[in-house]
Amino acid sequence: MTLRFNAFDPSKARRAARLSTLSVLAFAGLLGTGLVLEACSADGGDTTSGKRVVLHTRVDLEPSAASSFTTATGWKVTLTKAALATGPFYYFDGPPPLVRRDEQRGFQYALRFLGIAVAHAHPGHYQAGNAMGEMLEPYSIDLLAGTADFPDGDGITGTFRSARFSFGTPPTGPAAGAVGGHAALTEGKAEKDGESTRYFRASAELADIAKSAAEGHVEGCEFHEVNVGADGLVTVLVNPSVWFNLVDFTLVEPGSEAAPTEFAAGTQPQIAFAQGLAQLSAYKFTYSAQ
Amino acid sequence: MFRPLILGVVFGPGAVACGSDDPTGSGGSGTVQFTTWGEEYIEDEIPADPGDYSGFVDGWSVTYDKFLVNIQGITVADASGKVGAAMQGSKLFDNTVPGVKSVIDFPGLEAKAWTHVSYQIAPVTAATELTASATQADKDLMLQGGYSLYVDATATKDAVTKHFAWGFAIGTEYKQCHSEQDGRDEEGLVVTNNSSLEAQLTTHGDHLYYDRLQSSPDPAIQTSLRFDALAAADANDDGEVTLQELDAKPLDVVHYDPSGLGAATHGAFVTSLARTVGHFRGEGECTIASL
Repeated sequence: MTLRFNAFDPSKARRAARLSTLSVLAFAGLLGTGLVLEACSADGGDTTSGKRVVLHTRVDLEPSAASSFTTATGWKVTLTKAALATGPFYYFDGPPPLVRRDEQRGFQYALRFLGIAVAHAHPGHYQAGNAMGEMLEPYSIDLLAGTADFPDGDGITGTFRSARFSFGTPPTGPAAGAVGGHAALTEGKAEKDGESTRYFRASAELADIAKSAAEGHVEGCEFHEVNVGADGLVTVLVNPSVWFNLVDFTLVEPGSEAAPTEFAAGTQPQIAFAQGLAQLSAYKFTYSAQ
Repeated sequence: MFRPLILGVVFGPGAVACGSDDPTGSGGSGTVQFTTWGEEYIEDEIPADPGDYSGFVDGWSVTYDKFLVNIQGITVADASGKVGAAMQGSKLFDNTVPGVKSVIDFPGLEAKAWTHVSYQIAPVTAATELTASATQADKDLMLQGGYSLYVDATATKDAVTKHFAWGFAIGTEYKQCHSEQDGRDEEGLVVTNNSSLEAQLTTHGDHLYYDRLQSSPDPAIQTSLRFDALAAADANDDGEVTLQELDAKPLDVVHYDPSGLGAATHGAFVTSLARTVGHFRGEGECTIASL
């Protein structure tokens, strides 16, 4: 008996269903592993389930973006505000989907020349694996105001490899006023030789980010691989340069410092900014024992 | 409504890992025939969208002249990791040549569930075996470029044509392949006694033109096939769209979304999509990892 499986069906419905499966599988892994963490925590033992640990949480600005940064299109951006309304963070033992591309051609040479790291990811199934830790409290931060200690989270001992960064509205916490009811709010200026300086204000709602990242959950962020064996500190480094990498500032009116130009809804700058907020390379997690 | 599928996916592997016996074991053995096929999209044409999203929504059509793919490392293992069969070496195929092509047969496989099926699309080496569909010139081209995948095609819209020949020097592993069989998701494949089962490593030629790297969580946002931005990347307007030109063109974020995966240019975007052409038994999926 020979069975053939030439299940080709060119209809969009068939292909669309398969694409949806990608997201469902990733989502399934996250939900399922959340349950694993709960079961392990209740157990409290130190077998394969691990021991419970306290994970303090700190969020900070990526140092390379502290003063200014250069986008992929060559604009030097200096921010005066970068406020975020965040939701829970989760940590997993599955590897992140990011890969580094070996070849450097054309435009990427230019990026290297500008000092911009070129990391690429590949699509596919991000399999979060087991949930190893979490910080569940909604909070907020203005990254330009300095390091912020977020509420403590908890977890279990074991290997941490990836994380979920999430946005959450309405904002709560110390920077709730600064973020102004949005999921993210930034202000600053962009400069480029031969161009007028652009003073801008860019904001995004949770719905804008959710077009790229379900419910504002940025899945598969890098958690610098570590074997967590004790209580410690999880630090989240946020890199705003990723948010602006593909913004075309030539489409933004110059504005002024006192009256910056808002990125209008539906325009290239606002879409690029919202997509940038959903980039998993904008959020890097590390752990240090305490 | 996702919950039944979610629970099935999450807890299914866990149950196997706990050491339960394979309930599908039936005794005896069978043969698995691994094949590859490029579907009509690669053999014939990817059409302009007739209105049901089955083609290019911006009016282009694409016809392939070459779709070279180098397959290696097919492995069939059970849930414990025990390998039942493995392919040595690699084989080069041109999936524009019509028909389903044999990659390798694995006779005498124990009749049971082989849940861990994987394969690779990897750069050609000097030892790569030529199949009837590919030529020595094809192999030489792949070897010189270090390519695992090479496409040579023409895109047409009204009176405009754009030719492109893109070689991808990347290696991709497709692991934990699964597919829908009889209405349910099947991990790997199930061998039954005295049977001969075809497991097709299907290549999807339309993936290179998707406008997202992953499907949108918003069901109102469709993933579509597009070529306008790729055609516009032909900076010198010589009718040839090169990967270098795509690398020089920042991603058109109004029409494309890297879905959080960070492709800054159309070259990076297409290269990311090139890792997704490998499938399993038609529409089946595998976990993708770079080599």
